[in-house]
Amino acid sequence: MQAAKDTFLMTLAGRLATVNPARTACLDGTTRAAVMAQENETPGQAANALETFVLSWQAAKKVMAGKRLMEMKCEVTYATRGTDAMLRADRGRILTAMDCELLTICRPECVAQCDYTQTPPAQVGTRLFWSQPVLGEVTDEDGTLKRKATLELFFFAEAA
Amino acid sequence: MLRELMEQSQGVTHAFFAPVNRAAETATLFDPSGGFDVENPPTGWLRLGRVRNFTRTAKLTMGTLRAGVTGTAQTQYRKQVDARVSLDFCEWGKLQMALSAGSQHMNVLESAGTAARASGGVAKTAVPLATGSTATLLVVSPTVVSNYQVGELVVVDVDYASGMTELGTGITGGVPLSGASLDVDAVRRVSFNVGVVSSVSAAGLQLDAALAGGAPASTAKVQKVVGYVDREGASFLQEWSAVFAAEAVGGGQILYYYPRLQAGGAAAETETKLAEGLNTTTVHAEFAALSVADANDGEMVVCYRTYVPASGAPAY
Repeated sequence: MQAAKDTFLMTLAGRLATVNPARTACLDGTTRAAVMAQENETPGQAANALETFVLSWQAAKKVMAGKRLMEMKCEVTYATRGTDAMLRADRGRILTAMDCELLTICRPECVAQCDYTQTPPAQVGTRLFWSQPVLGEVTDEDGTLKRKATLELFFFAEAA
Repeated sequence: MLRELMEQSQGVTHAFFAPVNRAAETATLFDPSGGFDVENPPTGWLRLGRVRNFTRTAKLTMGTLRAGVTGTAQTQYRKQVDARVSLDFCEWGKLQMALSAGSQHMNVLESAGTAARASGGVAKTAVPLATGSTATLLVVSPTVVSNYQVGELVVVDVDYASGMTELGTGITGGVPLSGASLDVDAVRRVSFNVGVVSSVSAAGLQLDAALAGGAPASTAKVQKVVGYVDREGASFLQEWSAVFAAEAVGGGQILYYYPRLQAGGAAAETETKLAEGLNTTTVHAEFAALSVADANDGEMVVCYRTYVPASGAPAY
């Protein structure tokens, strides 16, 4: 399951760096594509990240009893307060731009699964599939627009 | 060994087509030993996107050899091989339409509006290519380059000349009817050498992808295309090689290679309801599979089904 998580994260980050190289986040002094997994960051860091796609892993189950084919729900949260230069009146446009970026980086919805616990990462021989993201309601929390998108991942879990 | 890797849980089926050399009846070869990367298909294979309702129908007729007073079956033999394929292309495009309609697929050339015709009126005069043109760069006179804009469709091919037996450079888009009176743009009307202008500069017109028929002839000319039209009842039959690929979660890949698929139905669409008030229309196509001789043993076959197992999957 770790390979699926890591592969999805690295795939989205790699694609975002191509689709919008300017969409970056600076974490611990390192600038990188603005995609992160909540569980990989220090507590609170991901929750406060703006204009960053934050992945959080939710329920997982076997597609069929007795099989190793798994499905796992992934939530992708992103938020913006807009820019000071535009008196934050551009927050809707920024959120819409991020909607488009998410839909773009999620296609194609299939990639070779890799083991990122070793260097360099190695393909494990199976593939990771996912559904198209469903864009949820937008909330406005003290001027911060936030969207939560959800999608399902399908993969073979590693042997224990 | 994990037997689950032998099960094929897959997402979508991808379609790839490549031209058949009709004069030589030579298909575009796909060698499975080289694999097929659906994201980076081998040179010459055009990506036609996802297909739905991919259905193979093999109408194989078996004969039985009987012997003895009781007519006991001794052995069987194949006496008729008839394979057909049907599918719905999710994307609309020039080749998808051409394969669906099955007949000549016509480029609607930009016209002056002076002589209306149902498949596109008399076209504006074509622009000659200058030296240095390639399959992705069309060099035209600096005096006309400003007439083109990014995003425009163009077709690049030679003028029609009396005596031509096949129309289209690199890929046959049509065959002149005996005695038909064709105008100078007849080749460009059915040519598959169509591209989208991705940038315009003093160097010429850059295309978004290489022309399907390869680098244009030195005598080729450019015309703008405003759309495509196909006609039911026309005489030409499209014939292409095809690969259909399905990739499984377990890592296995199933490939269907049809060396020669010939159009086997009329233009049709399939409409699917997405939501109240919103439908999606896919392009329906049907094909008949024609035979080729396998170079390894000379057997006449119509389709190759390849299964590339996932790493570590058992053989049996």
